[in-house]
Amino acid sequence: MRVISPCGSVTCPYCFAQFHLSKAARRSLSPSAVKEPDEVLGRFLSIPAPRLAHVELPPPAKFWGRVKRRLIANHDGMSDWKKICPECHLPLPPKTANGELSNDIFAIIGARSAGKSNYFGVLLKLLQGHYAQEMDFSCYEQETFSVKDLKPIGSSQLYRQRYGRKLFDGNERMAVDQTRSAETEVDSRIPLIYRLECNRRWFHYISRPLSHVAATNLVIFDAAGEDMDDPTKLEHYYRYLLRAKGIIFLIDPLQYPGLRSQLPEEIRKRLPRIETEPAEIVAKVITMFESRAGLPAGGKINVPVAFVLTKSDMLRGIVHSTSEILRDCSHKGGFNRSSCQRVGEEVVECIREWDCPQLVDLAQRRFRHASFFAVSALGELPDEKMRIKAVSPLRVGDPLLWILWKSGYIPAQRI
Amino acid sequence: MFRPNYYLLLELDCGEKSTAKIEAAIIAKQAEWSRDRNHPKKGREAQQYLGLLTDIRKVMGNAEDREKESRECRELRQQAEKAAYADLDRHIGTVAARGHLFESEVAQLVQQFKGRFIEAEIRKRIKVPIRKDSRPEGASRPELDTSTAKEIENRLKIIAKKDLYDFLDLPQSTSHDQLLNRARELDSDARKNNNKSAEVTAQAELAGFCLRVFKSEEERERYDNTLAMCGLREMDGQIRMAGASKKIDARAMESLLKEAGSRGVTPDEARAYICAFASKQGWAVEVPHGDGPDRVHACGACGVINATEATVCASCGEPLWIACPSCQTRNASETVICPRCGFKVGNAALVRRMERDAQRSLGDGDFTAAERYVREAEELWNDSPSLRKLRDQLHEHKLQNQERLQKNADTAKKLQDAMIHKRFAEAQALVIDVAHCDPNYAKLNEYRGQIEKAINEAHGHVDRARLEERNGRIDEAVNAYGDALRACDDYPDAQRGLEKHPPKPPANLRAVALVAGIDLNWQATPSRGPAKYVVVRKTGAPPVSHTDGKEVAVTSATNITDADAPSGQPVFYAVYTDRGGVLSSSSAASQGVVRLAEVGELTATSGENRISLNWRLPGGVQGIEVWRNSGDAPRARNEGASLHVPGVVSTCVDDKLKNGTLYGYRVITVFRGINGESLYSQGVTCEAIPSELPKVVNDLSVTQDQGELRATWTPPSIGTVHVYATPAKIAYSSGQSISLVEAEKIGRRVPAVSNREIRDKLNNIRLLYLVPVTVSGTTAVVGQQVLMSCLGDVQDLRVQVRDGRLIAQWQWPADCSMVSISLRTDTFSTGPEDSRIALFTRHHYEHHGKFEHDVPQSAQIYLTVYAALKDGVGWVYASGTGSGARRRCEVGTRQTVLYWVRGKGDGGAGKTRFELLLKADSEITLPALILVGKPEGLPLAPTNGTVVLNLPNGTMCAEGKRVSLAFKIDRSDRFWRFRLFAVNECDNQWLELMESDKLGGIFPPLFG
Repeated sequence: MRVISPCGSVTCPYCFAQFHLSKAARRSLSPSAVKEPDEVLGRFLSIPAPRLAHVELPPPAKFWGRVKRRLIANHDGMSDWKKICPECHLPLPPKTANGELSNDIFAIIGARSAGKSNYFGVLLKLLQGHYAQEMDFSCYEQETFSVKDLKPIGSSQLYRQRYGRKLFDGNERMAVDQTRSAETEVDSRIPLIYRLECNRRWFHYISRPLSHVAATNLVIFDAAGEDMDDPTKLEHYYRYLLRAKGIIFLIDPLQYPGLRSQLPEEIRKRLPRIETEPAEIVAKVITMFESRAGLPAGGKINVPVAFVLTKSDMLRGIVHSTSEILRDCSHKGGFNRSSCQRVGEEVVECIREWDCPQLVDLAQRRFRHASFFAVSALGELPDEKMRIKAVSPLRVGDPLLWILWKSGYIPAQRI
Repeated sequence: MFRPNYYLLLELDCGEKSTAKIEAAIIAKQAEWSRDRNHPKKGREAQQYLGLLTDIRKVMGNAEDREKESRECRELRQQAEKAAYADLDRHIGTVAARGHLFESEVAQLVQQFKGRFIEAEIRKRIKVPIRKDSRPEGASRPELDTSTAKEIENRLKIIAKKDLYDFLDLPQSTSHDQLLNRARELDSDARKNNNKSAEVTAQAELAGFCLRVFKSEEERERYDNTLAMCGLREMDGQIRMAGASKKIDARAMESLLKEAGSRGVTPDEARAYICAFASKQGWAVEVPHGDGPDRVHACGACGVINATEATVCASCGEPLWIACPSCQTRNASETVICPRCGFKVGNAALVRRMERDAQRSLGDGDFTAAERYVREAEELWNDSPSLRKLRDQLHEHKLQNQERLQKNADTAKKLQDAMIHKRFAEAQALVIDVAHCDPNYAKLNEYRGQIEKAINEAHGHVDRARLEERNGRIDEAVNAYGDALRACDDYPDAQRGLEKHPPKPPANLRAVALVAGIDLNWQATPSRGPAKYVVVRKTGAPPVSHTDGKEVAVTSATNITDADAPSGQPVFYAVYTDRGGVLSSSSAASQGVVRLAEVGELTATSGENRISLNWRLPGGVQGIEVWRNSGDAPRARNEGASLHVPGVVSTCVDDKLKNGTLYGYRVITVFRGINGESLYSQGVTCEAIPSELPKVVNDLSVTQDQGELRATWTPPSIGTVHVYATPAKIAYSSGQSISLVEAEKIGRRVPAVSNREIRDKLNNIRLLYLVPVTVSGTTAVVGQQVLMSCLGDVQDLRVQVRDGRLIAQWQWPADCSMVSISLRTDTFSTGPEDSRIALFTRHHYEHHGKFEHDVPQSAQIYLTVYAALKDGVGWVYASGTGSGARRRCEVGTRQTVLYWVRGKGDGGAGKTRFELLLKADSEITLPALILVGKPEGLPLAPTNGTVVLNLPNGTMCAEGKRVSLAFKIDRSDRFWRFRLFAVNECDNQWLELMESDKLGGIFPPLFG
């Protein structure tokens, strides 16, 4: 049993619904439990209702019973029941189910071919290995859900299926294919969940006096770019964006004609065609915040947003050789603010130079916490068959580390 | 008096015997009854039970009475259970009379029997199929919107398909995941097809529609409804004809309903549509009696409506009922998902089709296709007897096929062999086998002709031989048999004929030992016929039969040279005559001979006042003699001076010679004869001139570019440099003298373009050693060999030093999985093993995105990254000489200068005054710098703004002190940003110009 806040709520990592733990439904884990079609889950995943152990909603209770439930959460571990989201019927992560940890959603969005999946794949790899080592935090997998097997699955396994096999396994390295729209590919609606455990900072002694580490569940969701282009499809993601603790907005610099014209002819031939202007998607997101979250016209969005210029390796030869964009930085001991700030300034200037100041203006006017970054996930442009020689990431961790710093999980380097 | 069973009354388990528990139950019940004694409804009952308390305690306290009560309780519970099941069955029977149940009815039953039966038990009792709920009367079925339906129809017309199921080539009952998979396949195919014809475009668009339409069961139902309604609308003409007399009679109605059924429309829907149509037209309709609306079901394979009692579809012949492989429930073939266990039974028709395809492929011998069909069917339908049988059949067929193919190949090879060696009798039998196994064998007819001709010819000769034998002319008969064998080498009659007349042996065998071998010659056999000779050799003693010793040769000639005879050992020979496989009974034998052999690979290597001789010793040699002469080599033994050779050795050094004088040598081998005497060989000669050693080449430098290698060196004062290319490292060390012959054996000599350079093409070679050899006269000296790897170097090596750590990043070449990193402080490393600091895998690099290392205590470092590739047993390294694979980096002298700019107010004359401040950690003399300013933006490069201040070369910056430099710019309302750049790019290697941090947001305070 655990005392929980009577007013706090948890966020479902799958459908992003927010509810108090006392409202959570539960599913029997007993092997002899009666199986019945779960219409709710079927509807959420757009599949025929799967036959699963039956779901029980919290029984009606009298006043004091309701008060007790609001204050005390039971441990799932020892019972034959597992807490599930009442809206999608998918299981809550264990530490979320007993009210110990929150789920912090980090959204990665961007237009089609901005390189989201490749960035996502490389970022998770580096986050668990390099950055965890460098910044002295630990990041490890949590259970997520397999649509194929209709049962919980480790996030690492899902990571391997989606990204790891192509990017890092085998002799031949391949870039990740374009993510299919969540409309047709149900599996892409399932996020990857990782536990982030950091050392406590001074304010954690006040906010979490009983805990020896500061921990959260990182819920990282890779949305298909084509869904971002379409306003009706973007509408499906409103909860995802509104509930996000931080948004990483990826910008494909190759979509800027100003940069394209500076690239060599042989590279220009291989580039994808120009599609949606990044500023357009940002405008759509702002509109969504206005319509769904009641953001007043001209008001500023409080969620930290990292505007990330991807494929920064293509800028080699275009920006000055001393440019901070082309140099990796160390985050040893904390987030390297000064280096990232210099990169941000250069990126802003580059975007202005490419005659696309709208994005910078929007970022300045409508976001309270916004920063610009430049990253390269693969380090090279894949060939026609999507092959790459090796993954050579550059500054991949900067945006997420910035958001984690802003969220108070990690410290910044002392200057 | 009637009293309830006390176990039931106390709500105890029938087997409960614990008195404590019983007493606890009594107390609990007593409390409950006491509470209820004044209850308006339960009061009377409670009072009655309270009156029974004494009896309850008495009965439950007595073991015998309790046992009796327990038995009675069990019986009563069984009776109640039976009654409950009977009640449930009655309810089910009432609604299942029409042959099936709807889901809503099942839900009602679950609700009604809540607390008595769980849903699973209720479903288990239902023996009829459970269908999805029918729609309420009059409610229209949801359909696709008209425009989508029209678009689908138009595209289907282009590719001449009936509907989307037909387009996907799958039965209508197929589960929607299979439909989606197939749609994705077609979508992918269409996308890959570059020929964007109307058909291909339509196919791609239809695949897109399929992905949308079959996304969910609801969408699919819409499409199915649309299909059914389309079918009905197509019947409008027929309905008009039927109602021409303003009335549709019962027969016409039946006919129309049948037609609708063949289009997959249920009779009640068709009836409703026809009635509505007739009502619009103002016609009367006579509704026939007969099949009710529910006494039909559709075929899962073709969608045609069939009567309930039918077991197979009248249209396609597929079964209309399927047993679920998971729970054995009997389902109608139109059922997509088994209502009991959720198994996708709708795939049954697809699985049957795959089974048929697999059978057909098996019959055609296409095992790959058959296996694919079976595998796909197994994925859809687990554990089916027919699939298991198919799998076994497939396995058996494959094994048989492999065996058959192997046997055919062996037979064909034997046949070819027999034809080549004229064994036509054997070939005759083999041809029959080959024709049986492979009737299309290419050379079958040609072989048949050759065999027939040869056997006929042999047969003629044998006939002639037999005639000669009968006439007593044996020699002629033998000749004729020989002719027969020449025509057909294994003609059995000829072989049998010759066996009667063995040949005579040859005579006068003479063996002469030569250096090249032992020369043998003999006199031919006096016997007639086609004779061959079998030569047998034996070491140490004469052979006593043709199997005693080694068969050296089978020849038709009367002399041979046995080049393989061992040297230094006595060998004996015997020669037998072979006529048609029949050997002579005796042989011609030779005396024992000892073969002499010379030393091999004699080389003379010149040195300063000395000549080294090297040779390879022959087998069985007893001694070596070396004779020397000034000028030409000695012509025979005992000519010139004899050199001392200690025993049987393979080298000899002749020193104290005069440089520039020609010396000749003869090396003679000594063997022991049959009788113990010494035998001397002729000897081999060589010549050499001792001379001053040429200079060694130690500065060979190799580069490669666009598939061509280029090596350069400093030409030595004495001698010519030859460069040899070899794939393996040579054993000679640098400075070692070798002979010219040995030099030529190092490898391929690369042609030189001048006395200091060679060029050569690289033909996909991964690893090459280049060996410079300086040749002067007959002297050659090996230089420093250089490894040249054609594995591409890493590209774009970037090195930076930050926070006391060295950070290196680079671009990996293709196929490279590891690099060797070498770091030196004086110069670049000479190879991957020189000053190696790490072997770093690609996996590790991808994990960290860079290579990090502690910075050594040095002013500068030289970092080289060698790409490596596993080749065979070892690692192959790239040369590491490419400009992108090595980097020099200033470490100790690297200086950081902080700078910032601040406004100083009005500068007069329409200008604003600013101040550039510089601060360094240690005293430094700055190179030429420029301060670039840009209004409302950060200058990205020296040319991206206005140069507002020039700092000349030599500006001093003292340790810890600020240097202030003032400048002015035109007054403006705009913000300015400034950045300091080095004028010369090369200064960036040691100087880091860092703008002082101004934190507080990504839009830092701008300067105004």
